[in-house]
Amino acid sequence: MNAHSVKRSTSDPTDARVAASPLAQARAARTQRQIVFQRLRANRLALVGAGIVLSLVVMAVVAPVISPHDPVEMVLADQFLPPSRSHPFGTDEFGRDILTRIFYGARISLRVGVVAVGIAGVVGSLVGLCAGYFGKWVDLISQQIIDVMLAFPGLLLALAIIAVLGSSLTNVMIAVGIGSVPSYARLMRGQVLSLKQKEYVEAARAMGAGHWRILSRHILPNAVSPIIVLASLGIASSILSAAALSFIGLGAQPPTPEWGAMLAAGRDYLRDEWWIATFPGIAIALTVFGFNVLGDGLRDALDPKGLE
Amino acid sequence: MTECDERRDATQWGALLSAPLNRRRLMRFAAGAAVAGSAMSMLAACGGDSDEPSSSGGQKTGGPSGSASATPSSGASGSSGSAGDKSTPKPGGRLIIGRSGDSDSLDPQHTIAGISWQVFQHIYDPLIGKTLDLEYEGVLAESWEISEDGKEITFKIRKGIKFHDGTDLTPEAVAFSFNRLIDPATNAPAAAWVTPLQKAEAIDDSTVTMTLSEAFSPFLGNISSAYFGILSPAAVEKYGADFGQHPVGTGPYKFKEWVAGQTITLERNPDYKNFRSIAENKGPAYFDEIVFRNIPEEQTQIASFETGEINMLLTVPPHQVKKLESNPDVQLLPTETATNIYFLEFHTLKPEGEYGFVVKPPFDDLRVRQAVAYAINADEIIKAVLDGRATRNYGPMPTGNYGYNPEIKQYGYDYDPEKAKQLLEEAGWKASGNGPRQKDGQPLQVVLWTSNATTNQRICQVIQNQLNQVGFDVQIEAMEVATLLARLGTPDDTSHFDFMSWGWTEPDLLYMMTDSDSGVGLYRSEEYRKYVTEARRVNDLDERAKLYFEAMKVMLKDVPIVPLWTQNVVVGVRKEIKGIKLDAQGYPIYHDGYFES
Repeated sequence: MNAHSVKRSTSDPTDARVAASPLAQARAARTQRQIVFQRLRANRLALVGAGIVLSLVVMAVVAPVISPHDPVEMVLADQFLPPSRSHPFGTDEFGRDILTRIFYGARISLRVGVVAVGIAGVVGSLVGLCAGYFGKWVDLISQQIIDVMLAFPGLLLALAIIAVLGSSLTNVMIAVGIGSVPSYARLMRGQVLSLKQKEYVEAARAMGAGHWRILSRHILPNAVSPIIVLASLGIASSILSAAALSFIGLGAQPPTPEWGAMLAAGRDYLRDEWWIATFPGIAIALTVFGFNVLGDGLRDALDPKGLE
Repeated sequence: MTECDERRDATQWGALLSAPLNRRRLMRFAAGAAVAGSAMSMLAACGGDSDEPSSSGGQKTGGPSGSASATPSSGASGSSGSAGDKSTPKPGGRLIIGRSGDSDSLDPQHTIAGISWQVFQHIYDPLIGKTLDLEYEGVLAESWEISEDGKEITFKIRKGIKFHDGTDLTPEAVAFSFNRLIDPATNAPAAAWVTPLQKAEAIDDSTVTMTLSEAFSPFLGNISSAYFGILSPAAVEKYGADFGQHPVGTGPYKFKEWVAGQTITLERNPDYKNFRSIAENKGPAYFDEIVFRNIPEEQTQIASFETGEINMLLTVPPHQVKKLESNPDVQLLPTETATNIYFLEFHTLKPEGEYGFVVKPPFDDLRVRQAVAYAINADEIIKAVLDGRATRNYGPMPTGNYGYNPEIKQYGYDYDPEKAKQLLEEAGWKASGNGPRQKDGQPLQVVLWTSNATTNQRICQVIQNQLNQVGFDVQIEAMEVATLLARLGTPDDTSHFDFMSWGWTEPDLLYMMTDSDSGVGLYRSEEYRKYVTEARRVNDLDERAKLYFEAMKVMLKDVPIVPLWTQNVVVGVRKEIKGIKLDAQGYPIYHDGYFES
């Protein structure tokens, strides 16, 4: 009890200080944010990336509204139609409109990208945060595990996980997510290691702030921007990995309009009905490109140099 | 014939992916098959093919093939190509055959994989073969005699034939081959096709006697394939367990080299004498070498075929046929009948007693099975996925088998989605919005298994779509054939039905397919079995056909399977190769084949 009260009393001043500093921080943040946006705006490529990502989101949202066709329903009489006005990207081997399937595929790809990165980001950050902050055995054990995971290429790891869980889109998201946990954990740990030496962290600790407070208010906010950059780049690679897994039949199962699966199905017709594989391929390429340049732009924009 | 089928299956299916299935299945029914036998005569339908492959013998001769099988084949395009007719065959050249996988063993007593048979049919000759009219003729045997009671068969062996290793073909070698085959230690899958065989004995320097435990009409038919080819005892002794990698027989080609996973090369046996009538060429084969090259990717296969990197493609993927037809450099040899049957089989549990039929829910309700049968538009699939290269078949008997009767259609199920919906409704599966039908809050979810062969997957996707339209929620699980076969019928098998095919040239297929441990193999209706068992004892063909027709009627009433179609193979041969023809069942006859220069 006593200790408690002591703690509480000491924490009050801290709060006061912190309360003061957020104001300053907010001001700084605002200008920082402005700088970031300025930088982003100046980066044409990043804008293109943002445009692609945005249109992807729009496609995913409005897919059912704008397409007159069904993504799944087969119209066997219409199979192998080349691109035309009614089917701008042609139809596939089952007479399904490829453009429609690509629109619906955008939903799947976005979901896969976001969920996989979400899993990787949250789990990886938590592991990295704890490892970096607490050090000692927590660090030792978690880093050993991370090392083992890093020894496998991400896709291989994902393959192994799917082999255990079975093939489905959900499992692909989980597998790709877990497969990229190590990089987030490593990055976060490095951030935390350097941040926890900072004077303001020591000051907070000196003022009696608890672990949770220090982690959540002092370290995490400052460590998060590289994670955001990694995540934006990670979405691209997750979409690619998921498409690759679907391509080899481990991901989305028919008739799901997943781009990788569409690409795989179209492969057999590449010589003649080129449109079946080409357009999903372009969709994957564009999406990955979009997220990548956006991520690059974010990285440059969030570069701490010149922000302070 | 059985063998024939196998080969055939192998050939076509190899491409289609189902090859493994077949093998497995074949193995399963092997035992049954053997019995079936009477077949030989029946073979008629299948006849040609099997032979030829094994003997490899004949030259093109349009002649012979002309009769049986040829007709269909030439019809199509090119076989005529064999055109060779006009030019004079001459030796030389190397025939490169593209196919999708590698052989497992070239010891015919260690495999029944069609993909291996494709190769060793050139290495081994059997005792007897079949003519194009499906009569038996001696190959390594000059003549044979069957005892009154049918339990003893005496073969007179030809003299002056040598194995590839230089040793002589003797009656001892023949007896050795058969005794090795039936020796349990050999564990030969093909032994199941001659189960009544007790022993083979060399009586004198030209005679072998085989003793059977009972009269067994399919015997001659079964042993007329390369699976029952005669092996060199010296080589078997020399190589032991590695004989499958160093095969030695008396056939038209000798084994030369096997680069695992890539190629198998055979070279001409210069001393070969052809005793079969299916080929005009009575001497050694014309090709210097035959190379089997593995090309797993369909697109690569087609590209290599079009550029001439390979001279022959054993199975042209159905949707590529049209494009190749317009290519002046290639000839396509299509068939119009075949000895396979493709179907959906509902997953069945082992009945308690000898007879019975226990299907896993929700297909335990006959109306739900019938709904599936009515909901599938097989004609549409044949057209859209198989490019029309299949014959709609309403019953389980392949179109190329004796006993096939198109009349079965009136007992079969034709596309009628309304009826399907109505049956599901009656069975208590009520429509619910846009989702699948429900009963007691459970959705009508079913898992369809298939091998991961491209064509099979495509077919299953259409089936999925068609079934979903009447209210099913079908999930497809595609896997390696070997996995599929291994998982079928295991206790944790989560599936409800699968897309499957069986092939056999003998109508006894109807017995064999209901005599394994999974799917339709566990369909043990007493009435059905009564008919198919009786059919094995009857020698009169018409009588037998009637029994099979009755059996099919019973099967169609119970719906353990939904018969779909019999698929017709298209073999591709480049124009520079002349003389190769197909027999009636789609197996190439190589012995008259040559390079036109």
